[in-house]
Amino acid sequence: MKYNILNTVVFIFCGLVLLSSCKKYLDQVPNDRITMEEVFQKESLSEQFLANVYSYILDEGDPIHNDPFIGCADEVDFTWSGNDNYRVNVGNMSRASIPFDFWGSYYNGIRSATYFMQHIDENDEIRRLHGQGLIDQYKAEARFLRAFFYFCLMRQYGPVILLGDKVLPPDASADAFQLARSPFDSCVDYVSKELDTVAQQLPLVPHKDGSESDGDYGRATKGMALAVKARLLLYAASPLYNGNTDGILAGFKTASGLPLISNKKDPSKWEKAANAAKDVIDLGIYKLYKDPSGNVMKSLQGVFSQAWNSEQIFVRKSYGLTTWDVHCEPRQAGGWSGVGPTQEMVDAYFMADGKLPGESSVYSAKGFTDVNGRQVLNMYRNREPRFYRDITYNNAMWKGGTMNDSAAITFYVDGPNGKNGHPSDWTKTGYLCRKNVASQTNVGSGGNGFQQSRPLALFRLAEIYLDYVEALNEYAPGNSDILKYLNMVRERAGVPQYGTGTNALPVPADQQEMRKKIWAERKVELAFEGHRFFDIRRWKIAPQVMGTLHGMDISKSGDAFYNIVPTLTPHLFLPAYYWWPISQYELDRDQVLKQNPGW
Amino acid sequence: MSRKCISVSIKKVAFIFFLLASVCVNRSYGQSLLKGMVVSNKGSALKGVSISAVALKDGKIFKTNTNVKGAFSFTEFTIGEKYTLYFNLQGYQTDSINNFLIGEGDNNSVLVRLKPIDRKNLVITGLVVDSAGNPLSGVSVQLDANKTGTLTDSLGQYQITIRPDSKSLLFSYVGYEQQEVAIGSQKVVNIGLVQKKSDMNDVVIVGYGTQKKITTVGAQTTVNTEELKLPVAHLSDVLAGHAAGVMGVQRSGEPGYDNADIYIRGISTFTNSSPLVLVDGVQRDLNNIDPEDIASFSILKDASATAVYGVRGANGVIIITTKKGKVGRTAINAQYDEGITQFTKLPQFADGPTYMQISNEAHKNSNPLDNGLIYSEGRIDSTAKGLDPDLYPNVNWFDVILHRAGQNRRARANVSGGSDKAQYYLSLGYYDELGMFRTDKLAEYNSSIRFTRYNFTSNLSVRITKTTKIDFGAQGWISNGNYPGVSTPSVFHNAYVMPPITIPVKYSNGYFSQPRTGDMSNPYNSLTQSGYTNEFNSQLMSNLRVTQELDFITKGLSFTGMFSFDNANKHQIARHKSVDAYLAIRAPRDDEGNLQYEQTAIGTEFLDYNRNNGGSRQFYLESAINYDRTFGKHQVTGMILYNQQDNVDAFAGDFYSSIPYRFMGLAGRVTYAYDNKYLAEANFGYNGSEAFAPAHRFGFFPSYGIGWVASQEKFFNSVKDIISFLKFRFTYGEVGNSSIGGQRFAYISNVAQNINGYSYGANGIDNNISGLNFGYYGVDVTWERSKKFNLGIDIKTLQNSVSLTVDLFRELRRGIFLQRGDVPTWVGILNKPYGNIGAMNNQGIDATLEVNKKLSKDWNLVFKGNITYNHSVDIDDAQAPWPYPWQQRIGRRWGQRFGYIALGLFKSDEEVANSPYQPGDTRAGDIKYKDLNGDGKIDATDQAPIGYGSFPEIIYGFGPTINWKNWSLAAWFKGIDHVDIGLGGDAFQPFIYGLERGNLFSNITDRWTPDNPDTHPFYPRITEGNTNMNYQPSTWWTKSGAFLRMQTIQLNYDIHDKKWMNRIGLSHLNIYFIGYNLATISGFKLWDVELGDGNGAAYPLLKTYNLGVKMMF
Repeated sequence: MKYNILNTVVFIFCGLVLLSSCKKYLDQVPNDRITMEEVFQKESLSEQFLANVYSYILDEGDPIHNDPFIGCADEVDFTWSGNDNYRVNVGNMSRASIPFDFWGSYYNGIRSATYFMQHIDENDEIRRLHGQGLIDQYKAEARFLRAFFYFCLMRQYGPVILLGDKVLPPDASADAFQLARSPFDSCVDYVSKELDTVAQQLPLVPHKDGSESDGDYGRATKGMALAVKARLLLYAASPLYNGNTDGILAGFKTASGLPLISNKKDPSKWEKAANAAKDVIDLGIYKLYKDPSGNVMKSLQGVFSQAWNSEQIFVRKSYGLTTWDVHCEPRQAGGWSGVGPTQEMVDAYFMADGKLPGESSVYSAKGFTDVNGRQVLNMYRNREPRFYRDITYNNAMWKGGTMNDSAAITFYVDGPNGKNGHPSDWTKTGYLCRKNVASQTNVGSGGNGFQQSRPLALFRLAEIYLDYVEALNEYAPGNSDILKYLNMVRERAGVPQYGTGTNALPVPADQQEMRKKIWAERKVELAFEGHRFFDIRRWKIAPQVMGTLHGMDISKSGDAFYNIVPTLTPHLFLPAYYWWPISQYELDRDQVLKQNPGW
Repeated sequence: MSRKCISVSIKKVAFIFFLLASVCVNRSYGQSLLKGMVVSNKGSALKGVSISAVALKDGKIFKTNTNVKGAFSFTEFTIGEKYTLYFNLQGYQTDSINNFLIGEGDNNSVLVRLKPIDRKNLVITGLVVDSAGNPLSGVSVQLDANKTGTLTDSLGQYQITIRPDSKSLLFSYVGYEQQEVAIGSQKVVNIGLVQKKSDMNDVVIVGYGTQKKITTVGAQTTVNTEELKLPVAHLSDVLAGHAAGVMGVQRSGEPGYDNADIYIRGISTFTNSSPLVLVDGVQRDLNNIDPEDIASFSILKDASATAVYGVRGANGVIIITTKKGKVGRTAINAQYDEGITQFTKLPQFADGPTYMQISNEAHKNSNPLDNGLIYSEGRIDSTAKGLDPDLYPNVNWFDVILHRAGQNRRARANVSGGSDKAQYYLSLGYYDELGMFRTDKLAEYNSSIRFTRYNFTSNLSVRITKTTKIDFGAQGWISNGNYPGVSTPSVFHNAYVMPPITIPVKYSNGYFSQPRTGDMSNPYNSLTQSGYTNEFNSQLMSNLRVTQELDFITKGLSFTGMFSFDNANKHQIARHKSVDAYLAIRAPRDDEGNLQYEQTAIGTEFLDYNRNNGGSRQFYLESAINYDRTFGKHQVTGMILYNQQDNVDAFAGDFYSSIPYRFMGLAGRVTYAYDNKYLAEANFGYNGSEAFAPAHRFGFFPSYGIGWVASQEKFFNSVKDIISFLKFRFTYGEVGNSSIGGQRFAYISNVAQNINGYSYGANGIDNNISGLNFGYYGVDVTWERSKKFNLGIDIKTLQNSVSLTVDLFRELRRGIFLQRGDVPTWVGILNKPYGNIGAMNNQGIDATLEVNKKLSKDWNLVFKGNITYNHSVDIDDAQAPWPYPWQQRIGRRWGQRFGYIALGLFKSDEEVANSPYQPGDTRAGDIKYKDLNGDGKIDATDQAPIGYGSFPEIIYGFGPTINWKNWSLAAWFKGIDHVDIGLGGDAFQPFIYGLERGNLFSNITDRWTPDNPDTHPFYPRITEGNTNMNYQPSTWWTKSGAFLRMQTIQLNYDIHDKKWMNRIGLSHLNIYFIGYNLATISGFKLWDVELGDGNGAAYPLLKTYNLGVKMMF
């Protein structure tokens, strides 16, 4: 019996001891975990935070999956009806269901950038190892990124909510989240001022600890800031944002009645845009890429294939580009035959004589010529070099992908790339895109072939030249810089120039004629680079150029193939399509947030 | 045991002359007279000795008594028959004469001497039978209601040694009235036990203990464990519908992964609604327990029952106890059964020619300008004729990957028994299930889908002193699952998305086939050529409990302490490979009949090797003091308990999950009952979890209950013939839920590392920096709190043959841990913060009906039924308010399905143009939706509640059991209601990802076409790609998910009491057939209705035909 009592007492005692130490029993999380305070005390951790901010720069290398900026303009038709570009083109999009909705993602980047700017000063380790200079530079990089993200939002959504240096606390009340959008012009002012500021702080070329640093290429530079500003101001000066009086904008106003999109024309916006572009040019460190051999075709290809070349201003390493390669390659070469330039795009390329097809005597839409045994439609002959760089047409030669030997590619219905041979992998226009296609990329067998990954230039000098001449032509027609810089682009492209060089063309007669030529140049030079989507909007020509697009008759063989027919996919442009919709989710949470017109 | 051990004191030889002199002979009709005399050992005649004679031939019993001279006689004994005679007289030892042969003449005479009782070490024997005369085995026989005693054996016989001061024997048996017999002189005490009229002394399991059923006020359900012994691997599959208050559906039939999610009284929180499961008092997994080893299965539903579990109790508690040994001879059970399994329902797909015709139609519908066809008539024709399967394949992929039948089998054996001092229960179980995936006979490895499990249980109870008892239990199981290299969901997905016409199973030249696209894989290759995965899981569970009676301190006091250690291991070896695969280029065969091939996949010829381990260990410690005493009409019990648990993930993937999961707490209970009539109790749990901020770690959860047994009242006697029992119960209490999901240690902010980073560097330098950002914002988090109300009524009528229990419940769950949903995305917060902000109400009813009717001597009918209905209402889902009332989630049921309201199909393009704008390419034949807010366009604001949701609100089960002699036939039906299925997804929506992908269901023929503008076909206009709103969630795609299933039908034949059986020591032989899931009534035809939402691409549920035999020794 005594033993039992003892037993019991021991048991109860054990229980009590454990109970009394309960605080310790449940207190288990050690306090040496990584915290946000620590992130801003260590160099490498802060750099990781900044790398995350950079990661919000969209990889536009794979527009088939990542963005609508190529597939939803009038340049191409992506074959695959299962992708989101197709949804947008047939109009299956509403505020309930938005493909390519980057609103939240860019604001994540904006918040992270601001947080970084506010805390990087705490990092004594960087200060000790590299001096205050690197802290200031990192801060400027974050600030640049923030401005760039605003620009990306604005090009897609129009006016945005400007947060400034606010970082709203996560536990703020719902009232704190009731912010409205600022008028587009205010947004432009804010972002361009920010870019001005960071341009003063960012280095011309990436460097670290006083010397140029290869390892830091890709970080923000002064040129990037000025280039973003140039494109922003160009957009802001364009008809969509400058004196837009479209009816659909009637109710698109701030709470105080201010129009969110300016309805008064302000010619000085063009001047600002031109000056901004000129600022980039005047940095003097960029020049159009030309191959040392002087070979025009090599120059044109090198613009994209030669990484970090002198023409490229804002470069992002892209992992999507190899997907682009494979989608552009013909089925015969293991590709997906998925990116079909439209007849409208084919018709946009200049002729070898520098004139547009409609103006040139060497253009013929009909008839064939035998080229080394290939029957080539005359339409594809005597075109400028950029045409041959960019377009795989019927009976064009191709080498690359899984094809080791050069051969003619055909798109006849029964041919090796034709519609009958595969349920899905055929171009809907009878063309394939070959611009910025690394032909070495090889889908291989089951996708494990060689992938030629490379950086993607989001901004390059040729665009800045075209931004400049377009803006200049609008406020100072006749300015000699217009011809100068337009001709520089043409000269590199191997196209006769206006008023100068061999086979010079007449200088465009007036401002309007010049505008036409500048727009035409822009459409070709910047084709398939995600500009056209925005250009047709800001020029307000989208309703005219979108809709039914055309291509060859891919359900035919032989000569019947060459009939120009509407493509299968409509490319709708609805009045609402100038801007992307804001999701209903967002509108429900921010009651003063205005939906874009038409959605 | 036999009667041999009773000392027989007849000395026939010594008295032979006396007998000869006194016998009188009766010779008429073969009958003879037995005469005799009974005297004391001193020779004096004994009067009033009762004599029973049992005829051995027919068991007929004759009785008589001795007269004053001690003489007696039987007149009707048959010559040549044997009789056994028993002599009984108070104060004297019982005597008997065995096998007395009645002869002719006067030989039939006996003289019996009875010894007075010497009570020292007297042994009493006897037979216990039920009211029908059948022997009862396992009846407890106790001396003076003391704990020491014995049990009857399988023939109903017992033997007990009494002490000199013993006064009575107490016979008790579950379900029967206790009977106490005074010990007199009898050496044989035969007893007939009467079945209980009321469950007055029934004991039920409550939190951390047991309680008399009549005095409980909480809502408990006890499941008859016999009903759980079905041919399934996981208990959870059969619980729903078998017990009032348990809701659950089974979403997969994959061997080893077919367990159902079960919830008690439905889902009442946005977080985790899973109940706490305790096996032998320790938190353990419900699955993988062998039902054979379960002694009791109880479900605690209301707050009074679960408050003691504090932060773990809000979702209800399931308490399982495993079998323990019983005092008595060794009993052995053995069982084996084997079954054939089939799928309950397989989806049916369209064949190749149909697929191509529909593709052409879809292309034409989407591209009216295109005059070309996707598939030429010639090709369709060739496919239909099966001309060249390499070029014109026509494959039913489900036929390729699935056998039509599988197999399962079970074997069990257990042994139990013991003495007063120690009892044991040992058991072994085996479960084996072969699934229905096909394998490649040529493969050198085994990729079949198979699940095998071995269970063992050993429970030992030892009484080390008169007042100290030790219980030791060790249980465990090991399971081995074999699967193809590619996961089962992927195999089904592949079979769903691969059209019948894209590739043949294999090319005739032996090439494996694979299309060009990387997002579709040949299902045959992924099933049979991908290697295999082998999963070995095991769990070891042990518990040691010491119970000490503390009557020396005060009567009724006891202490119990328990320590348990569990260990679980998971070991997975995956050996994968892939094959070279090709696609025939669609060009005619060359002169030699060969095709050109394009290689579309490069295989890895050799099996690779991947190992994956998992596991956990758990310590649990509990100590409690119990008090249980009756003072006259007052019954008082009390309990106070301390416990703690520590669970460690042995293969934690990150720092936070490597920290032990712990909780600790106190629990207490006080109950009071007056005359089994007025009942009251109070419970509390006070416990804490490491998951919460230090200031919010501990919570106090009280509950209170009252009850009234109205039928005990005097005034009730007048109606007792109609209503024999009536009890009302009401409880209220608060319980917590600490398994709230989300981030562990949600009170601490953390940093998310290795997220998206950026790559810098030119000239060959790749300066990749991984990303880092805010991971999780720490908040002042605590457990959810639930207020629970329960009103119960128990009623019995028609001589107790009908009993009904009905419980009404209401629960208010507050402080549900939810992510803040009112923050716009433009705020830029990566992971929106959490908080204890959600609220949900849940209310409903559960009821159990039981009818037990003996129809005649041979016929017995039992009918059981139960139903559970619950309705959970979203009170606060932490989202921003919705602009329109019909969009509002608050106030609607949890899981309410939302979608558009379909008005039918557009009849013409003019109607499209004149109707509210629907985004996309909308034409005649597309679904027309209702513009609820009248703004002229269909968008998110037009989504309204449609149907119910994917989880049922009503679950019911019922079934009769009919017994006829040794036969019994039982059926069980299970049904769910207030549930629907939302159709959608890849391979359900025709051609959502283009024409080359996705199978079509065979009902594709039921569709709108321009030629057949049916007003309500199954499918609207077929299009290519995701072109319009046709497949948005809407009433069009919401189908009823209600069903009634015949879950089991069971036929039993029981053989016992046969001579040949006795010879081999067999007491019962039971042969049975079980049919499981054999029939389902449902309006839903595409796939097994229980799989629920989506496209049905899951391993379907199984039906089983099972035959077995069970033996008891």
